[in-house]
Amino acid sequence: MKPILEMRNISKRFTGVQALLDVDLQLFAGEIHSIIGQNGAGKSTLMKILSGTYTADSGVIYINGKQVQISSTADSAKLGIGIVYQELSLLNNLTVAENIFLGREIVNGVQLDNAKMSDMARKSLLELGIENIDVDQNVEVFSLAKRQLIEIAKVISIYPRILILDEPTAALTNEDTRRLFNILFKLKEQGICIVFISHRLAEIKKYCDSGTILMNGRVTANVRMNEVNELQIIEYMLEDNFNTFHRKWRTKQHKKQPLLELSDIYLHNQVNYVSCEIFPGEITGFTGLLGAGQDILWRIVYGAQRKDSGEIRINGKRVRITCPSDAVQFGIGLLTENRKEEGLFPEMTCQDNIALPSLKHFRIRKYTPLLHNRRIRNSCNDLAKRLSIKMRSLSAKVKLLSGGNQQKIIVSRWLMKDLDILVFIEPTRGVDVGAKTEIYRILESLASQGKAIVVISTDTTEILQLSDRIYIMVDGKISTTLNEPTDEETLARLIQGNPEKKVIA
Amino acid sequence: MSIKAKKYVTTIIKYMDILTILLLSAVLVLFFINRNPKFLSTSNLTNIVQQNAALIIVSVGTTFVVISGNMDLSSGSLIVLTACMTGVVFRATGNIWLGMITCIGVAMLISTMNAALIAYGKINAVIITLSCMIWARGLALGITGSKSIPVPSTVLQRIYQPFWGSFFNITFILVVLCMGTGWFLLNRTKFGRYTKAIGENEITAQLAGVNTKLVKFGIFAFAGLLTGIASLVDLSRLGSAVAMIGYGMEMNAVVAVVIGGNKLSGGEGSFAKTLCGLLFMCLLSNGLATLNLMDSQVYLLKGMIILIALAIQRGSNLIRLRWLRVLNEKD
Repeated sequence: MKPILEMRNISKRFTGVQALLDVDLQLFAGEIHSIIGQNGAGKSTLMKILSGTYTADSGVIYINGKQVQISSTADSAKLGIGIVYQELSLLNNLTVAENIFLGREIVNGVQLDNAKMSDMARKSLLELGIENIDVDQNVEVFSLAKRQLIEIAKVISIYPRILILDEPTAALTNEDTRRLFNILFKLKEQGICIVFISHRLAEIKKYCDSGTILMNGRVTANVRMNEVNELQIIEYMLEDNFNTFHRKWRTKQHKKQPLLELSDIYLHNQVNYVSCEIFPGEITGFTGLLGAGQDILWRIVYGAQRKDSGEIRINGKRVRITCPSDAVQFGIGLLTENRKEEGLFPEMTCQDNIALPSLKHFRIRKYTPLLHNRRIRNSCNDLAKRLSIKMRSLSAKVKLLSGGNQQKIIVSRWLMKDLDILVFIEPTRGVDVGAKTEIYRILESLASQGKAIVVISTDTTEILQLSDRIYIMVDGKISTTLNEPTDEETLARLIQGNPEKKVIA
Repeated sequence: MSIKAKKYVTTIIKYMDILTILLLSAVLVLFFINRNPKFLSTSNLTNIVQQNAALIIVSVGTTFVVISGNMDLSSGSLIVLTACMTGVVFRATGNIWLGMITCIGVAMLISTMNAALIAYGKINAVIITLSCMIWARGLALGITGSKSIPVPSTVLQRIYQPFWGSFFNITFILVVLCMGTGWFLLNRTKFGRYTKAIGENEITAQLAGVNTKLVKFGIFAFAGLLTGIASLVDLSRLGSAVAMIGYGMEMNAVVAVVIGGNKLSGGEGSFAKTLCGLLFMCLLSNGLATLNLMDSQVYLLKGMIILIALAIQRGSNLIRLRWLRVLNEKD
């Protein structure tokens, strides 16, 4: 059988990071093919090259044996490639039918033919076996799962030959996932090639026909799903430990008071009665699949997210945190995973970025608004030296720094505040390997200074290397607490959410 | 909750902002009718529509601009500039048709120029229209020498003169026509749908294949055309081009659009909301004028009442969002 799409020797380099190196991919009609790999393995980059969002540095793409150029999203659409993005791209203020036909409306003279579009939208939803969706309702009233189905219907209605789904099940329940796959099976029978990206191996194993496994931008294996088991897939996904950073696991060497206690934190549909303890001088790891609730939990603790119920205690005393400034007052600092949107002021200087929350400590005199600029500069310089931040000068704009150095800027911001509890969400996302190790060392030294460090990461290697204690979250609950070291396969297994198979030979 | 009751509640929630502003308008009416029994008389109501005809026409364009997530501050100054140009042309040639063509033409020309800068030059609409607001008023003062220019033309006056009873005139027809066209464009054409899409998320609209620049250009050009028409309507009512024509019109239009419940950040909006907002603003202006207050008191009261109305509107919106969440969680 000839492949419908073939990618050969695809390479892509971003500043400092080799995202893809000589990747080959073959897709066949009437197959569900899965792209598997850890975060940062290059799955999304590969798909973005296919969709025309990025262009490859080198490599060729063939469709039906003919070489093609994909340099824009319009190109890929013309070639019959349809993509359902990870973030939904529906417009909430328009109805289902209006969304499905956006950009290619049916008109009758100048007048929109709403009745016809509604009819066709209804038909295309029915063809997919989706019922109970009123096409004349605004999209915003539907649940996430239904919106996902609408999005697929929108992409399907342009009759693609290749349909790419980027983590469509991250936010879906098992029931919804099954329904989604029933639809995908129907499409498969029509001869459409489906590319499926997910972190949930059980799903992949159960529903997909074949898979390409990526690790650090390279293909490690091409597999047929009926020939491998989950364990083998995990082995292909994990990197050999050539990473130089190794941290000794310090098992309960102390019997300290917990610094921070959470009890029964609850948020509807997101976090399900979570209780845990955080100790000073330790790095506590939280991990789980995307959407398992670990990041939301800590956003709640930081006051960046409302909670329905639950209690937070610091040093045994109950505290009320309703907004981030409360949390900072109680000594909690949070570093978000998306630095550009929530962490940094990209247009401002390094100095301003570091000192912003601590400015009131630098007043010339108490109760005067004037700032002591020299003292600010000196203390920023000290911090920059301590964390070895590489920058031209303190007055350089932060947006010019590399990802690793930007992350260090935020770390130094909270160090200046001298907070006791530091929460890192995905601390090394978008950071290259060298800087990764450096950040690990910083985290370790902070912990040894007696600070409580919390690391939230979906990268199992990272969690294992860093943590003294690991909480694993599944579906908004802490499913397992690990107080002693384990190997990566066990952890990967636990994250998938089947604790009954806890012991793997 | 039974299905019927749920449907009922959903409908109320959907139209809550309109209901709120209508309720506030009713409060205004009750207050003013207490002070002035003739407040709801036919003659006063006619008066309200005629006096505010230009504002209503401008608001149609402003609705489009606001729904697309933009802002247009130029309309007031464009009205005075085009009115003055009409006056100058009429004084020089004595031909009112030439004057009226100048009026519409200049409005279109300047607004398309702005539109091009906004859509293709990618400059923020607030800044472009703000600068236009300043220079257009300056130019108007310049060409008239800060004096009013009478335009004694029977043709022009016919726009305002009633020809059937005391109510029906060309002004009224124009108001209905502009509103109708706006409604049709927003709800029945691609242009309207793309306007909403751009207001919600311009990038998504672009990815879906919408020519967002052209649509934005169209929105501002359309608003310019309406401004030209509004200028003629006001000129006909006043009989002469004075520098105070259209003063603060752009702000009144924006306030009317927003107070009716259209989102200033774009995406959501309808002509029903604009109409309700206009109703509130017109009742307020007219009612305050009949109270025989000093100018300072009128401004103070008007501003404070608008503020209170916006606060109430915001409160009702918060309640609406909470109800929506409750309803959705029951699903």
